[in-house]
Amino acid sequence: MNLRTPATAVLAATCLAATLSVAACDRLPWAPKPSDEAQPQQTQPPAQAASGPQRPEGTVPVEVESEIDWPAARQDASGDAGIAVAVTSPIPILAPSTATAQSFDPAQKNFGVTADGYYAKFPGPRFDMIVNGTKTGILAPRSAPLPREPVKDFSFNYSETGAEVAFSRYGASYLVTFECKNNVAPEQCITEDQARAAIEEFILVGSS
Amino acid sequence: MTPIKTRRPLTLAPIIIAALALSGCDVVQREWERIQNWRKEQGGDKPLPPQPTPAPAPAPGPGETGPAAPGPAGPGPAAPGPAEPGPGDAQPAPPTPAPGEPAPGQPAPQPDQPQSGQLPVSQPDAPPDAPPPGPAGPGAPAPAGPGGPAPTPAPAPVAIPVEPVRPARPGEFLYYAPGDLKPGSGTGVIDETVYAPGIRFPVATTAFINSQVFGAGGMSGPPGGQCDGPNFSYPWRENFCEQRAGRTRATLNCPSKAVHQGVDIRGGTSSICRAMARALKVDRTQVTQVEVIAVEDGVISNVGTYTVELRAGGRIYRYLHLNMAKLAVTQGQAVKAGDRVGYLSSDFGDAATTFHLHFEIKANIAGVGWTWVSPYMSLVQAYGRDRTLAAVRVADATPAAPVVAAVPDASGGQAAAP
Repeated sequence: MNLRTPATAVLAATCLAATLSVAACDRLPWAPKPSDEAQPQQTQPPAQAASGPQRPEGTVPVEVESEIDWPAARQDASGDAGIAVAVTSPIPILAPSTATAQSFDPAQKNFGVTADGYYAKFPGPRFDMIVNGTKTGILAPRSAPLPREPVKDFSFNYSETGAEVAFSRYGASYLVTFECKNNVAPEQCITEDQARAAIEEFILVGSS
Repeated sequence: MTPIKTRRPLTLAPIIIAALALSGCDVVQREWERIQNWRKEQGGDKPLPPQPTPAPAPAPGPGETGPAAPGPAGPGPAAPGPAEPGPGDAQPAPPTPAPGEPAPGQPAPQPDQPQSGQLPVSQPDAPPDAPPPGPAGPGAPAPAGPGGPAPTPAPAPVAIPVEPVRPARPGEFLYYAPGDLKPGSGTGVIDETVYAPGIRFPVATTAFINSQVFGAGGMSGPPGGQCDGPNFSYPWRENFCEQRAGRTRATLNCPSKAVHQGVDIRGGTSSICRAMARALKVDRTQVTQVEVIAVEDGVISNVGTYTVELRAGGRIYRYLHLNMAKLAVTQGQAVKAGDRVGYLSSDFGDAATTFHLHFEIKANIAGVGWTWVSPYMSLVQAYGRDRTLAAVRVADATPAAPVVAAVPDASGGQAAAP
């Protein structure tokens, strides 16, 4: 038997071994799989999670502006008791029924109109209500995993400091923050039913 | 030319190597499947057993000259408060110094120890001459609080893939990929979106994004103090989506609906953290070591008990736990990006938490409405830009192949690792 082997044979065997190794390790859990890429919400090990085409810049979303249904807002306002406040806003101003003209006094600093909407703070004994409204939205890029569930028009969530409700009216998006005081557990401060009841009593303020 | 001669055993060597590689990969694959099966059995979001393998040597951040001198840390007694970890004492551990940490015999930093999941109670500081904490050993008790994201007992032998992470080099900082939460801390979301492009980084000093709850000194973290070196070292690790117990706290896209809705950012260095702790003991208003700034032009739309909100277009940036006695802004004030908002502290209403900035971005997502989105990639981008540092993802900074570290099983033994 000839025990001598040419160098090319050794090299070929080494290449074969390397190929086999790579093929085998394709099955490693952190190796990217096409099926995983289609399910971005799954937690993946570091190497796999890191594989992305835009690093470190990330993906930048696009801002979009929604159209406001002013006729509907004016029609609703005509039936409201309303508050006589001379303010102009890019979107209809919604406020708690407990709001007064003083709530919109510039000296109070609790209300302001922005280029895209407004913010207003309504202090209370148990919690403060902060209302933010906007007509500017962010069009999330396709790479951003979006909720699988249908979006509700009334979204209630607890937060670090209380609870928040998001909803839309007249084409604008509103966020009502219930910021609890005295570090009580949020459930003891505000419940979903209480939040819903408070928002159902919101009134329209001013117009544009 | 003399022909190269060899022997048959040498010729077979590559084949043997390939066979070993195949079998080795199978072992790793099996171990991984065991992890996944175990996680499913445990309910998915529950934490994995403690990982005894200490983290790779932390790299000092810019401005950090090396291991910081230890000192007392942790705010004083406090009343219950919601959600975030509070300060207190940590479980003692074998006095093995962590990388970059004080040697035995030196004064030890005092970690925080929240008690219940949603209502952490801080505990008094330990004496400054207490033995220094070290990394948890296989038998080290895991701190836990009733109702919180308490670690479950180690139920089965598992092996966790560990990436060998090299230290950050000058001119760069390291960060784990978005969604890659600390193992056992929850299920992250891989969201590369920069929801707030072009913002300033909210902390003016060196800063580190990592878990307050699952880091050293945290309720579910390894023994140690909040000012321990590893908490002030790269890589960053996202903690948006980190699990929280109890009520619904959803976001745009975290898989779980009871999660951390922002990211926690530690500011400064280990030694600055200790300086803050010393200042806190004297007078809360003296905690002014780490400046916090406005990330974008806008208006201060709300100043709460321990919150400050900055409204800027269709986004709301929320800052928590600043030194509320030393705020640099007032309700309704217009600010420019870079303006000082205040100082990083531990304010938590009538309670206290660890020294950190909890930072949220709430955005109006088209078709969804206002919701919490991940600030992580916006902050990665901002930090690199503000500090003129290259943001290097851990996967890109890891030249070596992944290894598998052994993790103790329920009986205290070691799981086999290839």
